[in-house]
Amino acid sequence: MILLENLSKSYGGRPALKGISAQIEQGEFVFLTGPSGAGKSTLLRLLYRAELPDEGRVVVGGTEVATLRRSEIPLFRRRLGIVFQDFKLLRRRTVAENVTFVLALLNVPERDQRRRAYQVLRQMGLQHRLGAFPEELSGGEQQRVAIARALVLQPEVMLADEPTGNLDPERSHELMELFKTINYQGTTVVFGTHDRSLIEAHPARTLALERGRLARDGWGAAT
Amino acid sequence: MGGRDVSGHLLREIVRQLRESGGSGVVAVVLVFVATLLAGTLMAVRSWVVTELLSTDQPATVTVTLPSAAVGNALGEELRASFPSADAVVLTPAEVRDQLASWFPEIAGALAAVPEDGFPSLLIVQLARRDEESLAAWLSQRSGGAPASGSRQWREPLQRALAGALAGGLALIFTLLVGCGIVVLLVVRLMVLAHADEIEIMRLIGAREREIRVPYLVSGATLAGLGSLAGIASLSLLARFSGFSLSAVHLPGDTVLILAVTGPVVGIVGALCGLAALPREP
Repeated sequence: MILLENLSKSYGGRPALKGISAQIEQGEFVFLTGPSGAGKSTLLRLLYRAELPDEGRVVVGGTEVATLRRSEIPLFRRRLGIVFQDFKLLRRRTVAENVTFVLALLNVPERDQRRRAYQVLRQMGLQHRLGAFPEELSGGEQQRVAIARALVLQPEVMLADEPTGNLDPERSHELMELFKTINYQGTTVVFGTHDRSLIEAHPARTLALERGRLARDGWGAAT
Repeated sequence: MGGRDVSGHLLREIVRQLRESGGSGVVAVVLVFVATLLAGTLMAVRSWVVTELLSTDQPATVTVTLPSAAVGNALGEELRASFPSADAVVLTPAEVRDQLASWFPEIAGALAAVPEDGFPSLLIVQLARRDEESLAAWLSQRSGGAPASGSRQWREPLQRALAGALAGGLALIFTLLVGCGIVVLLVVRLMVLAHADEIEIMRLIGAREREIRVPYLVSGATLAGLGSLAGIASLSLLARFSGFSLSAVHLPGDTVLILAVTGPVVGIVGALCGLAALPREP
């Protein structure tokens, strides 16, 4: 499902990732962990083709990511659900518009857009905030809108870059349960976090990065 | 964005952008409005002058002063023989005085006090405009009458004046439209910079370049198009309230179409230039 082969990336001569190789199967839940600057975000950005590797291969869902033409990138990204630490919601659009925006790109009929947005926002407990703007929501609510937006397309793969980074521990664990539910429904989840307690509470396969290298590929938090 | 299913998002985004364009957007609208009004007026006046005053289909009138009515009668006979289609009338000094009195009744009393020999005899010739030059040449070979007035005397200066007014007007219109294009460019550029984070997010969640750019192009075209529409509506109202219809002041349909299209085209060009600031995906 996801194949990383001898992946390297550097910025201005400073290596961010060095020789990363790993394989993630369809339907797996994988933590991507490591201290700040270890290369978690860089790896995720390579997965959704916001960056190009200096060396190596990235294959996501059978797509050779590095060789995608520019015009193919949007179509590739529509197969992914991406969740960011800073939510990245469209601040001039309502909650409903944020969620239906991606459906509109796929020419889903307006009535279906509204129906699917309502369903997924109800799943997130946000069905009463359809007309609210992101700035009117709490951090936890904004993150749930971002997850709803990522989920509404029923993606093959969910990539989450520190999605709990701006949330308190209680909200973080709630969100974790949400991601586990999404994973149970068959979606591959790659969850980037530096929060060790989260991995301890919800053990899963963990790829630990350190200074750009894959330091560990094992189950749960390292002892 | 393609298809009716994105139209809701597209429309709402365009409305948001138009609101955000604020005062600068209003300036763009006003510039195109003034340019359209000016262009429409210029075209209407040009069309009227060409049709009514310079058209070779309209008959020309040549007035010849004569030493006496008798000379006029002889000249008239000769003229009718040479120019069968011409309509020549000889006015005696008394008839000239009466004619003037009928045109200017306020001074009819004063005119009546002027002795008859104070007025010339006139030969008034109406003929096709294309024959006017031949008539002038014909008259110059004969003694006894000199053309006092003819359309040749004012047509060329009028044509020159019209060409000058057109050139000046078009230069002004061009300047206004370029101004509008620059304003739209700046508005779009500022919006693109202000929306840089949103545009990045749109890309990350799978929006194509055209889906990102089209709303800005439509907004630019709308701003300038609103100016065009307002200008055409004002021209129409102006024509109606001044007692003319658009066709009466010779603003032809194709001119209206050009005026309606020019604004949006200027807006799109301005927006395209503004969008050049938008960085592309790596």
